[in-house]
Amino acid sequence: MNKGKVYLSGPDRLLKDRVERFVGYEKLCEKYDLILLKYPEELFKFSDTLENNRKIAEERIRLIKECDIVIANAMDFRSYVEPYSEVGLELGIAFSLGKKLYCYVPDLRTCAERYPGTTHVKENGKTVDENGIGFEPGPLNVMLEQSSKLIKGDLEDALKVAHDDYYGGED
Amino acid sequence: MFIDKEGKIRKPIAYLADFEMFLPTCDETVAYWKKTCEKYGIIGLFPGEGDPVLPGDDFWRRVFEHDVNWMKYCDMCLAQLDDWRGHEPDSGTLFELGYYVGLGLPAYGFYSGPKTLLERKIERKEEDGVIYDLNGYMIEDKGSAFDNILTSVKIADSFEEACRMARRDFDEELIKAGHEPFKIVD
Repeated sequence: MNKGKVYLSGPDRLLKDRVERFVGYEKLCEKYDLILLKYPEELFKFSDTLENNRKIAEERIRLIKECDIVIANAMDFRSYVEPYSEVGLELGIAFSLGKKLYCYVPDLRTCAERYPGTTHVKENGKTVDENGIGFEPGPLNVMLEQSSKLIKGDLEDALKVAHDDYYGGED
Repeated sequence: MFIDKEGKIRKPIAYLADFEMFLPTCDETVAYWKKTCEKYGIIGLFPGEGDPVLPGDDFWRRVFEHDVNWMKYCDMCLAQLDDWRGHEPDSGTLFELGYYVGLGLPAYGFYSGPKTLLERKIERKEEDGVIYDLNGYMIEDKGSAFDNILTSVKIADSFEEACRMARRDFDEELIKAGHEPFKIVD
């Protein structure tokens, strides 16, 4: 059986130690007999032209097409209850192409439970915020939650599950 | 009008990916979107249309399948990318838009906020000439209001402009194939 190819989605590429971090992620994938498809190096730069930015996006879509598995860090990002914007789009791309999808989060409480503002339950049983705006029922948006396997923990926890699913118990 | 996969000329059906269902103004907004689509020769389809998903076992699974069936039925996507409870769009909307990107189908976003990530009002700090948010995530300076992968999508500054963009693209294909472009009636 060919080794499973993994594409990582999430905001980790924006952290200060991004280059070293992804070297570590590559080793972690190897530990679970999986191959990390690496982002184009230019993606780690702070500044670039819009034209180059678009070329890099095209290359990343090519990587999603090539992979077998997408693992997303779906933690809340610059928002109360939403992951990084790239996560939603990349999972949608991968879903349309029939890839295996995994999301890992540090917290499995529902969106309403994590919301730092005031919430209340309406007569119809729906929970809304202080502006009367509703919430998704679970920890993530329904589209993400129903298309992906949701794992509480970190990348390694998700890799363990992805490994077992991909190899079906063989080692 | 557009040329579909079978070479037939007909009105394209657009999946309206959005977070309106959470808002009290949903009905008026969707009515405006559908009317605007019509003006540009597009049929707007709101995912909440069709047979309602009845309460019961696996309710959310069935809601997901209901929406995916509509996604498969539609020819293109118009997605609302305005901020949703913070500095990011709604992830379900992005997922739906991504579905069309993955299949190489026409995909357009609309968004009325700042033009670049740096112009967004995100609290920040600077280290060695690089800008980070207060949690240590870089705020990129790459000429876009969104992060890298979203530059694969054409993004307009209003719903009507997104319809206009799509119409221009469809008309270009119609003209290339020797057909008349669609006549927009105000």
